[in-house]
Amino acid sequence: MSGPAALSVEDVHGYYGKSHILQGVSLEVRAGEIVCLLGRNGAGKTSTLKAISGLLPPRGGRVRFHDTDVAGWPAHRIARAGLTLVPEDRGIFSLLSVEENLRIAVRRGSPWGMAEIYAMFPRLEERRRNGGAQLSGGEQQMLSIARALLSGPKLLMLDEPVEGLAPVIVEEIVAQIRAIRDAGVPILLVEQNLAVCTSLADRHYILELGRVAYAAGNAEFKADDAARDRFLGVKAA
Amino acid sequence: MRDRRAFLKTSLTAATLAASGVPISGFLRSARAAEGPLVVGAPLPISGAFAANGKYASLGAAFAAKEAGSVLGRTVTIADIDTEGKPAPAARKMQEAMAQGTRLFAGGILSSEALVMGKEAAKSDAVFITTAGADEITGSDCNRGTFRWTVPTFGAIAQTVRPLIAQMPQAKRWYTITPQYVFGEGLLSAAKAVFQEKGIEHVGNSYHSLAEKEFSGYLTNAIAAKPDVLLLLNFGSQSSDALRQAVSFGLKKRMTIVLAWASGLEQFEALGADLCEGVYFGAQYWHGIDSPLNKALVAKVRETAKMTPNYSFAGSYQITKLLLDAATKAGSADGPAVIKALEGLRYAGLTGEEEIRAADHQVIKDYYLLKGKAKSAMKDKDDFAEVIQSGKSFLSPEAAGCKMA
Amino acid sequence: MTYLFQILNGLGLGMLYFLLAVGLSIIFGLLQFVNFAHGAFYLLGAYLAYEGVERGLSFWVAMPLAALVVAVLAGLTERLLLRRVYKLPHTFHILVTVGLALVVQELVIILWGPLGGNVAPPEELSGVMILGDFVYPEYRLFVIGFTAILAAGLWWLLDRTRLGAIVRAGSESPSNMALLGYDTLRINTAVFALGAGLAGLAGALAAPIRGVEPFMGVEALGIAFVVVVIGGMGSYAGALAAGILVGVAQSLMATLWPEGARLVIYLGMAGIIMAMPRGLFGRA
Repeated sequence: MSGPAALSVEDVHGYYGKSHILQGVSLEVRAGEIVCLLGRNGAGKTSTLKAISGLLPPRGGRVRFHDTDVAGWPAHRIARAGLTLVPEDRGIFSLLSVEENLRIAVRRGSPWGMAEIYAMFPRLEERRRNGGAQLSGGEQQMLSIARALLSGPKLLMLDEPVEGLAPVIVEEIVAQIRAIRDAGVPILLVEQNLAVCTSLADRHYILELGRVAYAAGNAEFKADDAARDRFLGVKAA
Repeated sequence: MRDRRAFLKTSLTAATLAASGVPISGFLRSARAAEGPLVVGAPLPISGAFAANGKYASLGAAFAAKEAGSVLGRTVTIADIDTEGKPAPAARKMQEAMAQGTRLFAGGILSSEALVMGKEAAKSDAVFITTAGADEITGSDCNRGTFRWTVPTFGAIAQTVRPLIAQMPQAKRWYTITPQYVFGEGLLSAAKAVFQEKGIEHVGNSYHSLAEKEFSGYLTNAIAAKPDVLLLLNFGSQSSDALRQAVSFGLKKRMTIVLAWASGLEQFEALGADLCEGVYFGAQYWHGIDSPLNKALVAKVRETAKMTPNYSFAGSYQITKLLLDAATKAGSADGPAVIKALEGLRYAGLTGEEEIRAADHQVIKDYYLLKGKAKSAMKDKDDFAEVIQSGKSFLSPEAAGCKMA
Repeated sequence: MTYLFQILNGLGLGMLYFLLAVGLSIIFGLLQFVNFAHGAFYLLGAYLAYEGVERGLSFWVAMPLAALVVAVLAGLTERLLLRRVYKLPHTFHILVTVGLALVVQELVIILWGPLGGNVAPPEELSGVMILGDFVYPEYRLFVIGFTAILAAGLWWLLDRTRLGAIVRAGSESPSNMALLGYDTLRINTAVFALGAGLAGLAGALAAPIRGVEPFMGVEALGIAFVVVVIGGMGSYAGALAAGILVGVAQSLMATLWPEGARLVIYLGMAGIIMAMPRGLFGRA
């Protein structure tokens, strides 16, 4: 079911100024997988994604994407290599229309073109002339995922994609994520919503104080109430 | 003891001067004034909007110094003083130079700085000779320390407007464009007086500020008044801008254009022959003047500096030379002695025979009426204009308002 | 009738001001960079056009060529020098670009002398248009028309093309652009070059009207900033509206109160800043 490592993060450190936010993160995403990255607020989840995507320069350690060391590459180069991040704020440009937001993401060679995207997300086609900021939360999330697809990702990273969305929309997005994995794109998912994580992910990592404190397969994780309680302070659903 | 104090004063002044960007070598030496070089200060706008004029004036002064070599057994050096084109720095730096012992000054391109510097010179028994144009310099603000080489507004108008009225008897309607500035007012009232005397209809006047660059509005007013002659009473880059725009509005085809107070060669070069063709220009100096001193100067400058002296250069040369010649004649470089030698001095100047009127320290010399030549008629790259006529017109010192103490 | 004339004249002036200011506005909008060298680009464009015409090139060749050369030079400057200063506070932007402007000015004086020069308008446009009592130089009419077309073209570029979308997106969030795979550094260089090229073009177009002289960049910079502040930093519409407003105001003031023309404009700017700190069309 899972194959060779598409993404391999080894002992990566990260700093915001003097603050040592990532203290040696190591994780792996293999072909065909959805991997979930959990942890309390401030544990370093978003920072990990930023370090991988190049928005935060990783110090020490390695980030290998399909056997290439990309640590230290500028963010745009990492994105062009197919290691795609959908940020927490969704990255929608309010100065552009929905269609413009999509068009600037289009890249040759991506299995997803404008036609496919509009088929997957008919609501985006309806609202294509609206300004980017005029969409609802769920529509914005769809827009940002759509953009990621248009760029032909070889691995997709999602930072809290369902935060603040209504359950119906959450279900839609979960289905989209699964479909994307089925189309051959491994996914690294940062999420607080445990139900979403356990329904999607093959494996889980839990970050604490800038380091991976727990790693397990989905079945093991679902059964491990103690771990969930200790690291996330959450009772089993 | 005296030496030490002099040394301290020198160092302090030198430091101040260095900080204000003035070359100090000349001053250090002039601290021991009795021996050492004869320093002539050249207060000129070396920075600021008039730096172009200042640069050429500085060259002219240096040329005069080099030509003289030594005077009274002392090497002549020019001390460039950057007035920045503003009265306050001009006065301050002149004071500093005088504190160093410099007593002879040739410069002052703008009237505002010249007036202030003349007063400073008078206070300290120094001599200041200038090419600035304001009437007051040898008029209501005349003083013992100030001399002026250029022809003021009365003469500039008399030697341009009068000959043209005589030359074009049918041109009865004149329109003026005037900078709102004391100097502009001077030219305008002189012009109005001539108009009244000669029965000319003054069909309109447009005032503009000294910062104005856009003359289209005034020019359209001028067109609407249907004059025979457009008389521009502004100067420097404003007269160039006004002329350029006047030609672009087709005014040259509808009327005669006169620039009463042109700079000279530097202005023609900036404008180009096509613009200047057929336009009349009033000038203090032209390199084509047929006088022995001018011919010698033009030849020498062309040979050594590979350029033709323009007005800024020539004016500065002349006034510097006057100071040096007066010092030689007086046998001394002291202010009062040089002043005495200059008063009433008759000499062969660039414009021919010139005389320094003792009562107001005004040089009596010609003012020139030039007409722009067609490009095809130019014999060399500097032959922009022909001299139509020249002459001397001056108010008496009393009429000019000078009461010299 | 005079007022109509003044307004037409003001429109011509205003369009040139717009060309000058829109580049500055775009540069600020995208790069958050305060470019005090903008007047130097105007100056260079004017002198390069002058040099081209002096060497016998047709004005129609010299003018766009001048703009192109300025754009290339500006792009190089951005890449080699200015890029290093972006992350520093705005005061450093000002320091570096003022220094650059002074260097360019002195270079111009060294290369072409301090006196300035004249650029004749092209033969085809050297006459005047006459409508009854109304006289107006053909070249000025051309400038009005040409800059209007440029303005339209620029609007189309910014609003309707993918390149324009990239510029607008980049001005909103460079990091999100990077996540989409765009080399924002290269985009910055291109935009800077475009902004500078527009200023150079304005200088080349202005040369037959105003002549060329080494200090023309200083005046241009002052006007560009007034227009951008009134119109709003980063706004195309703002640069257009404010440019025309300032041009027409200047022109009308010349008839009504010549000495006060400049004063009125600066007072107007002060008033607008107080009432609408972001300018007429500005966003943050």
